[in-house]
Amino acid sequence: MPGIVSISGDQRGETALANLPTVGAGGEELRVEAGGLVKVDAYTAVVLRALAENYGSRYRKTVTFRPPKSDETWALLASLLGAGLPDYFCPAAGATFPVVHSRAAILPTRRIESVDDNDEVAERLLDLIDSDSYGRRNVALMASAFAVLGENALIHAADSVIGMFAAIAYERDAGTLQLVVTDLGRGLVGAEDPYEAVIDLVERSQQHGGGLDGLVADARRKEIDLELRIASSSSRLSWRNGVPNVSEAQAVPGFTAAAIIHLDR
Amino acid sequence: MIVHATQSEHVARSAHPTLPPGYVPLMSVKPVQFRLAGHGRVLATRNAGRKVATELSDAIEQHPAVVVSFADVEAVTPPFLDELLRVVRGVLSAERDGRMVAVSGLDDDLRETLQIVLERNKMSLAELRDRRLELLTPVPHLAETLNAAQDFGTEYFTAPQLADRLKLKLPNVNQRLTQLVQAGALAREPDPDAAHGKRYRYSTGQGARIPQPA
Repeated sequence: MPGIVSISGDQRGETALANLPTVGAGGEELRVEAGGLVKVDAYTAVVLRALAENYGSRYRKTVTFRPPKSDETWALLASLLGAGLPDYFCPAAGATFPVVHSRAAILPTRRIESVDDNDEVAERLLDLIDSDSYGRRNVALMASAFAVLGENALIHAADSVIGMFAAIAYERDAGTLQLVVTDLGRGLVGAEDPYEAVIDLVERSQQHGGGLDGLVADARRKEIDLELRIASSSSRLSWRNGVPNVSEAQAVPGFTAAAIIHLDR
Repeated sequence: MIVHATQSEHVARSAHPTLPPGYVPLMSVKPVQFRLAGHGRVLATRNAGRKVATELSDAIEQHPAVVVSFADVEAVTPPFLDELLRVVRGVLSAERDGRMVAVSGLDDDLRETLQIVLERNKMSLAELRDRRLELLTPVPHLAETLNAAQDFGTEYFTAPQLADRLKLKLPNVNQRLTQLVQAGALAREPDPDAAHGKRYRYSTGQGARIPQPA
């Protein structure tokens, strides 16, 4: 009997992370029921891609996907899911992939293969993200953020069974440019106190001029409204305007980091 | 990536006249431009920073004056610059005879990022801009000293000459000069004309005609 993941409604932001596969999951076929999905973003896309990779690539189990009923939502999600989906990933009977590519899907979900790959994609973002629409400074910061978050994932999530995936989307409702990088590494799952662990992470970055702190400081200097978000286990970090806020929420697998530029400033 | 300016480029880019025959400039080796863009338009990761820093270290070891050019670089991050500046600081603080390391080709965004990292590391560095050296961290008395040094218009100068010009006491000027040497803004070497003891002479690299950014 296949496992079932049912996702519906508004699955933007960290809400989507509850659907990430847990360690050990993936031994059976999977049916993803997403017909009721209404709102999606880069978070939704990397989560669904992680499911597809975990079941389809790692275990070679069929992943049957029932797409959103809304054409607009499906067009955006399909564009964001990216190319190179596992062969075992297939739309449910009667469903097809849309032919329209959504412009809001700036960087469709893709695996970060290596340090060189990470650098190469970061550089390509300068051409991929339209600087006339989003501003040259924002584009440069997004490229930097990709490199920094990608490098962090490559260093700290070598144990991720699916590798690490990243996507960039324009989120129309919030007016944000969002980069999301996720992996299924241990993250803070093994930490005695995930809340304290994320505080340590911030303090270490501040004390040693780490990449996260560097991005925050750089954005502030340039008056770019950047929000860094981290979700791992039950800890959550939102680092905006130079102020890191740590909170607790439902435990999620792996480690997901996001760089979100609020464009209305 | 190192780019040696040709002799004609040196002359074309320099505001200074060609040296008379037989004249030996302060720098015995041609200054070189270290082009960061050769390593990419986005210089962001610590890993890339380490790789580039190794090359920069070799360049600084081989050449007394190095201009690190940011021309054509579109994004740089603090972690990358951290790695780069670690090398620069190491060389500048270890050398008894100062070497010049300046930066060029910065736009406002890159300059702001570099300033963040310099401030964090309590460092200063000179930027070559419109053929003048300017400190990237605003320290008024050092800026005044560097300006006065450049206004000499000679190959090199001594601390007493500068003290005289600035109407300051010699120990004060020596202290400022040391800070400028540590910032890579001035080259320093033993003064062969000194009658007694070990004295230094300084240069803003004007004699060396540092290539202007492309």
